[in-house]
Amino acid sequence: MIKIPEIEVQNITKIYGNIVALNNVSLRIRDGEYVCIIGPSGSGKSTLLKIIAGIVKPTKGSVYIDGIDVNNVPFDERGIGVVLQDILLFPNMKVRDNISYPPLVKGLDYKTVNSITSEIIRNISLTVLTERFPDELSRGSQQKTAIARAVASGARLILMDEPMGSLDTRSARQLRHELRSLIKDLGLTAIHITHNQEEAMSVADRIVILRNGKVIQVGTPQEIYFNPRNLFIARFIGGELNALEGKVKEIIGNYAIIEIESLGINIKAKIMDKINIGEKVGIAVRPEDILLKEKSSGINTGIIKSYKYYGFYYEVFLDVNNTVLQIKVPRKRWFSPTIGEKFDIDIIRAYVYKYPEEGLEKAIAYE
Amino acid sequence: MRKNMTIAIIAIFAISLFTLVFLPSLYLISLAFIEWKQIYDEIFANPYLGSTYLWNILKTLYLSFRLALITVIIDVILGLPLAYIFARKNFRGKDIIEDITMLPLVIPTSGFGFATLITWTSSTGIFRLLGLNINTQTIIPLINLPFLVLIVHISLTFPYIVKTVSAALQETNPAYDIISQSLGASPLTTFRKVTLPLITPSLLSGSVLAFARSLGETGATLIVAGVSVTAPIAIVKWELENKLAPAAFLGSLLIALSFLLIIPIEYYSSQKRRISYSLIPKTKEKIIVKLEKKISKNLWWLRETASGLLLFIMVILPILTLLYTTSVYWSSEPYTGRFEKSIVYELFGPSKMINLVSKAIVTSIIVSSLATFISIYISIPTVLFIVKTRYGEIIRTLLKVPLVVPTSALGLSMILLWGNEGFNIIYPSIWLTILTHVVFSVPVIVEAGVSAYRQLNVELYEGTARTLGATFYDMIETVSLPMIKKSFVAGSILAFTHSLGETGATFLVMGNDITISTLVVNLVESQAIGTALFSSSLLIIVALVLLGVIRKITK
Ligand SMILES: Nc1ncnc2c1ncn2[C@@H]1O[C@H](COP(=O)(O)OP(=O)(O)OP(=O)(O)O)[C@@H](O)[C@H]1O
Ligand SMILES: [Mg+2]
Repeated sequence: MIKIPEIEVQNITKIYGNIVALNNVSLRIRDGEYVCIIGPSGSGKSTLLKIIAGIVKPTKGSVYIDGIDVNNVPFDERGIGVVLQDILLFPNMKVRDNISYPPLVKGLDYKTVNSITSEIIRNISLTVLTERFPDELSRGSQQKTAIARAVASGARLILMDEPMGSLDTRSARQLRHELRSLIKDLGLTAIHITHNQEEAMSVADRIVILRNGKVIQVGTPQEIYFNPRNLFIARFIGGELNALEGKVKEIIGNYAIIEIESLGINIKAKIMDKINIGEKVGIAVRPEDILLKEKSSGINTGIIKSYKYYGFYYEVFLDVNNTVLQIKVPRKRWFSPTIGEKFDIDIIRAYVYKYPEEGLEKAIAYE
Repeated sequence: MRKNMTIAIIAIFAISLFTLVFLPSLYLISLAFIEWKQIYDEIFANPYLGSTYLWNILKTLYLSFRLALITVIIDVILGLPLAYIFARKNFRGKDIIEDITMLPLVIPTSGFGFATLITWTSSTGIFRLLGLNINTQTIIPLINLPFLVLIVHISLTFPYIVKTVSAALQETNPAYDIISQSLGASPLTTFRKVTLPLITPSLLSGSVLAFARSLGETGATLIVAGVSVTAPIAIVKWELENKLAPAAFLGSLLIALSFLLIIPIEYYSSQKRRISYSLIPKTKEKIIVKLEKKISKNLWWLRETASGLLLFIMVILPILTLLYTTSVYWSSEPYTGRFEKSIVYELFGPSKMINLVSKAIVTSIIVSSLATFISIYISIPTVLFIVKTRYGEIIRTLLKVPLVVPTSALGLSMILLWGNEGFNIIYPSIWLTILTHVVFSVPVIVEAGVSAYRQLNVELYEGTARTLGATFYDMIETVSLPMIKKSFVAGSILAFTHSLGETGATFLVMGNDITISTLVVNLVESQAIGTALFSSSLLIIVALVLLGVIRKITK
């Protein structure tokens, strides 16, 4: 039984010139876990991956693999398989030769190399493709071959930097689940970088969110979706967000009653930061958490300014007292919007945060 | 009306490109067929000499091919690490070191040959001081090649390998190296199994260029060869002794053989296919991999050191030694202090060598300027033709021909084509020299223009111009030409420096109008060392200055 490694990243800081790519990042990845690291462009995802792999040295901090500080272990001795965005199968070698490359270059004898290779090819069900060159494979098979090659090197931890690359969404959706089951079947630990929140939500055991070189939240997809730690995360996990300003009227356990002056309504919101009564706060309301009521009764009413049709839902921009809310409305029998039509709204879930110093706009910007 | 004119212009251009550039390169071969009977009578069945000529021809060819082959092998071994460093490392002064590497391609070969000669054999050179006793008769055992000739050929050809390979390396993704290493391969194994196959096409075409250059090298070889006779030197010798038949036959053989060798390799490497080979049977990999691991671990410093030494010994040292020796001998002989042995005395004393030198300089300047000027006029339409028509690539490939034809064979071809055996219009003189230089200047300028056109994506801007309503001629004038002007000028200066330094062909076609680079050969042969020092230094300094100008322009 081969031990699957546990990775611990402790207080890692990486500075390039005057750019702080990573700022005091700590992280623990458990045996056999499939972790997605997600964050906007330039947030330090690739840098973190390269530091774990040992391709880049951290300015400060340590990486532990199975409790051993590997700072001075060169990357070829860490037992980590790296699969980068542009996959990088050796173009001059057939699939089989790509997979047999690691045992071969480690100096194993010919028989052993062959048996390792055949075993992996069987496990990964690439048998029919072994005599092809990489450029004759689909993106998915290339990706699988790259993982097979990493496994052949003895890696029990696979690091993938944007493995879906520029794949169109339909193929990406299928491929990412194939990747996940492959890695789970082989019993490997994986870190998968993406900037696509949907991708992360659908495959990760846990998600790590990076922003400006800092880890801002770690948790299962559900934990993060239902408890976004700040306004930015509320927007990032979910895609769109109505960020509103409000005032605390009352606190009841984990919830607060907030007056949103601009809409002229009061709502109940989950408390995410420490707040006090009377304080100005930031409110996060996801487009899917606002309901439109079938009949307008004249309370909390808005006018449709514009809408977009996405097949299974409408995206509606509703003007409520001169504040425009973005609302996702699932297709319903009675709902076929026209501009100027009036609807009442019901906000079913909202989060309340301390009012961000930099203002609402900036707090949720992807930059 | 306009259409007729266009056709006329194209016709004139095509005819001049053909007669001025292609015909001379191919004439010699056709001549060997046409005059086969005469060649047969003189070489194969000579009533006085039997087959002596034939044996001599085979001997020189054997020497030249062996020399070229060994040169290329050493070039590759020494050049690869340097190419690797240029492509993958960044350090201060890299630009300058890259420039130095390219020096042998621009400095006049006879001057460089002389610099190498004094570096290894004279009392001002470092190797004498180290107690090495080397002269032009020194033969390397085993491979049985004249030492100095091999050295000079390596110096003059390794830049081709470095240039093509480092360009290819820059195009391959450096992440392959990292991936390979993370999979457990040592750097050497990575190089052999991953990098080398990726750069093989470029390595091959670089090697072909180096091989062709070595095969045809005349200027420097004349100076360091001693009694060894390579094929190009034999051509020069026989031509000067008026033994035209063997010279022509050897020349056409040389051209034909270089084609036979070069065309398949060029074709192979121009195919954009996957190159997949393995040098070692899989069952033996284990041993090699372990060896590579050991070497990578313990001898990593060798790469930098070997590269540095290569540059220093092959390029920098000869140039420095030449300039140093010139300064030492300037006003007196350093050992006896005698003024009568100084360069100044030789130049301005009773022998008045300065007259010879200045006349040669004037001739050279006229030759290089006019040849470059004519070449520019032929090159502009050629570039347009290449980038704008379907058959352009054929012309582009054909233009490689003059670059691989051994220059002394080219010179001979020119004499036979234009002189009283052929068209009977131009005889060996400054004019024939100019025409000869046009043959190899046009390809240099055209290549600069075409690659700039492709790299700068001129096509895209042209398309925009056309959609904005520009006519074809407007577009050429206002968009295409201005965009590639800089590279065109740089290419022209390069052609100018080539022309300034050309020796092999010039020797044959110049008649009494001696150019400065051929004068150096004569001076060395007639032991006018002071003047040779002065002229070589002058040539090298001018080449360095021109190189600086090119760099300024293309920056
Ligand atoms: N080699 C380097 N030299 C200088 N700065 C760098 C280097 N590598 C990364 N950076 C900087 O560090 C920051 C983080 O980069 P990184 O590549 O880790 O971001 P990322 O989250 O992977 O972004 P993306 O989604 O665009 O891939 C960026 O500001 C980047 O410009
Ligand atoms: Mg990245």
